[in-house]
Amino acid sequence: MTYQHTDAAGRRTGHSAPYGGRPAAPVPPGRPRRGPGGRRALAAAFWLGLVLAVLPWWLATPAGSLADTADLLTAGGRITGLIAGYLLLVQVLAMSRLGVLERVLGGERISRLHRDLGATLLVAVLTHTALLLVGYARQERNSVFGEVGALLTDYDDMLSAFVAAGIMVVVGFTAVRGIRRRLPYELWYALHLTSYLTLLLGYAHQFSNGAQLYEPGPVRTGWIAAYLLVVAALAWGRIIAPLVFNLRHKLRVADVVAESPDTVSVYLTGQRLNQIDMLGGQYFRWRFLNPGGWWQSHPFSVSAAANGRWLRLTVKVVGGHTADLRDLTPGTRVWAEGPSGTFTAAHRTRERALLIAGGSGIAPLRAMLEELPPGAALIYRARTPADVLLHRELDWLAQARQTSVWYVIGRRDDPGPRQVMNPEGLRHLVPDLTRRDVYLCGPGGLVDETVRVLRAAGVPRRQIHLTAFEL
Amino acid sequence: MTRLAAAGRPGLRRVEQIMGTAISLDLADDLPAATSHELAERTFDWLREVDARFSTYRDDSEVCRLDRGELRAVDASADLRAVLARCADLWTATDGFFDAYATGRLDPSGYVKGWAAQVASDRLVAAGAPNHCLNAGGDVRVRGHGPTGEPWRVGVRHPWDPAATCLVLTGTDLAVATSGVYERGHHVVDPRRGTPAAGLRSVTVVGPDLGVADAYATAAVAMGEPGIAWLDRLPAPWRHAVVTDDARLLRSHALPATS
Amino acid sequence: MRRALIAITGLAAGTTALVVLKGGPGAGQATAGDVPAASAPVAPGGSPAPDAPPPTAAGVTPSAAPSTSAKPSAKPSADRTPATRTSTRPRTAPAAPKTTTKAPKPTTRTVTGPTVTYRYGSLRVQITLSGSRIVDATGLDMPVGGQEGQRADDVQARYSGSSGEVVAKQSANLNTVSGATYTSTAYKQSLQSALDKA
Repeated sequence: MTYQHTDAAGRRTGHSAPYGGRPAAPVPPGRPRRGPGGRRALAAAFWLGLVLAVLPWWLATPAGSLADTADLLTAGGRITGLIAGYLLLVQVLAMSRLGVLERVLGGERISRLHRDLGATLLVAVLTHTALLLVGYARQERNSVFGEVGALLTDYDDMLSAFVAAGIMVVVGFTAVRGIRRRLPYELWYALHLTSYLTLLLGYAHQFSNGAQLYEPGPVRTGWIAAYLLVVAALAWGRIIAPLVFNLRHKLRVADVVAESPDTVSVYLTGQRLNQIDMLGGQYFRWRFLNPGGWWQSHPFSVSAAANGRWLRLTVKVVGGHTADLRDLTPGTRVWAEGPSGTFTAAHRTRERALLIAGGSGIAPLRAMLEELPPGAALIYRARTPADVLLHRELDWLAQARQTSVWYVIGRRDDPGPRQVMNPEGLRHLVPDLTRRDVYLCGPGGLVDETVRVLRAAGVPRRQIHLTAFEL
Repeated sequence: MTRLAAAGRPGLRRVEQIMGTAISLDLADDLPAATSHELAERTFDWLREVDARFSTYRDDSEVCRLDRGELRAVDASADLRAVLARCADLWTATDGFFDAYATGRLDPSGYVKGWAAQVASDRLVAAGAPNHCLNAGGDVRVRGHGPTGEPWRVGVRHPWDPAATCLVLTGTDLAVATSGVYERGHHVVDPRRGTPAAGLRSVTVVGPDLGVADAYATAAVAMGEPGIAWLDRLPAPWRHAVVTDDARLLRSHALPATS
Repeated sequence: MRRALIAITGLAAGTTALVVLKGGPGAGQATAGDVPAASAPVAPGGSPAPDAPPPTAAGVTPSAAPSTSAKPSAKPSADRTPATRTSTRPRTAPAAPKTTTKAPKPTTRTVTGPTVTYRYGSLRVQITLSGSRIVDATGLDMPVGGQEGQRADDVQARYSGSSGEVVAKQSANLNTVSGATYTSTAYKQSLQSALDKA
């Protein structure tokens, strides 16, 4: 068996040649860092955009003009409307899979942003609707329900706007975690997809009834331009860029290799693979173009750094789609979107890194190891020795890249893991823990627990990098 | 995992990096250690000498000097003249598909590597080591029997999987050369059209002379599909195996293949 | 979800602030009693403000939580205060374990290169040195047998052509491989490493 050397908290290091002298293998120079600069620029752009969105209202409203409650309510409705319109554009942009966003923000941040933004957007839209309904009703001395009728009949494009708001409510409702879990994935996905309709349905009423956008002028032009830009970004990120990528590289399954009883590696080959600008730890969204799998796309990390000849993903088989991966026929065409993610060696803030993997979470870390400078450390949590994946590659990398590797085998409550997975245990293994970037990838429970331990050990939050296991 | 050449076996195994490739020598004769080392040393010295004289990457090599016109053909060494004569013969024999001037300047490397290994092997036989295997970057010359006393077993690289073989040849006197496209893409250029060859993924030629075998294999890949017919017309001692782009394996009936 | 709540609070606070600011001094007082619902969020809008900065603090993680409160109403003091907080640990821990060096060189010794993994297999090169001279180089774990055997089934299905013979992988005890440039690369790698170690 390949695993005979593995024991609980066993250690492999490759830092010393038996006779001293030069390191085992030449270590290629690291890639340039990708710091938080891009993220800061995006954050600045976001706030600037928000100011620009509300500015027309601010400039068009003379001070002291809001005389009574109805005016105040209407003003509030307009502001929230402008904000909602802006947030919707940002939301769609965040989901456009534009390469820049995927590589600057990364999937994990984008999905959090998407969730938080979605909640805010929904509240903004509902506030906008409510404030304007009440405001208009007051102005016209009408009941709120009567006002709804009046809006629908007397104003252009309001029906579609209400439908858009309704869709948002339904989508927002189904996105609540508890409800989402109960829905079949396909239904949830289809519902979520309809949210693109809100962009279309909500579009017209902003111009036919929006106080700030009704008049032709720079504001209206700018708003339309923003819409066009977002739609262009969406088309680019979702359709054109993937199309170009896939026509260019024509990925195909080359081989499917069982790494362990429940884990498979899928090797892909294609054309011009050396031209893919990929960092170890990044992921693609994969679509395997066979009868059962073409309609679903799943994100999986690449488990080996770019080598110009093949790509490999290593996936734990947990049923459903992942089980189908086992039966992939070599030659199957693969549609890939990416590379995405900021879970890379280039995004580290410190010189050294500690990688903590759980189970098949080793995949992105294995790829990253090839691009980290010497002196990295890897702690690999696995339930049993047989769950240790890519064992030989890791040992070889440990040797070649002067990485310390610890295999921590056992269940959570077994002595090995208990000894290591606490602040003292980690500090014991990696004394300079707080001055390292920590990359975590594994099952949710392990990651949450480890983040807690790391924070307790004094690792600053910004040095902890997470990757979403399943986006 | 199989352990090759474990302790206690007769002979010696040595690998060196010459001509930009790994050259391995396996001496299976039960000779005194000093003699084996001496023979290996002589073999690698010869290959290094060939590299120095025939490399197109060394400006001071005989080939480069000849190409630049600093050296007249009549003044060239007997080896170089023999190589040039063989290249000319091969150019004719392969309908121009083996071309030492394909790159626009003199570059007989396609023949030299196999030829040098063939000469080294011949010299080993003459020096009293009739059982050996010399692999010069994938061009293999085997003589006699392996260390276990069995005939040599030569695998042919699987065109899609570098770690696997698609064919195993056994024999006591074989020159085996394989030329292919592999994953690096089409690197064999049809010298007549100047375009990458397509149709044949890998061609293995087996015969009595390694230099010629290498040249034939390269030429056949450059020919593409018509190369199969051309290989079929080669005279008797020559045998071949071809893997087409659509993964068919075609081979001579007389090919000493086993599994 | 915490950030979404902060964002929503910010939205309410910001909108209210804008409206109140534009409402003007006279109108603002006149309507203060009329809009308790609108003015109520102002107070809570202030309290979460100190709470908000940690995640958004001066670009540590430039979150896009749209708290509009900070925009035109310009109250930057609450955002600024925690910006300089950095945790520094002066304690320097040993960076890497020390290398153990054995000085005396034996006359004849064997050095094994690392296991070089190339596409599917892996191999190791062992060299025997006498002084600084290589007297033997041996490939260990050469790619014969082993892994390929396991995948023989896949391979059958994989390369089935329309006619002719199917290219199948074979594994056997081989002495050498023809055309195996890839293997020699891995061989070279491991050999080089063994040489470096020697």
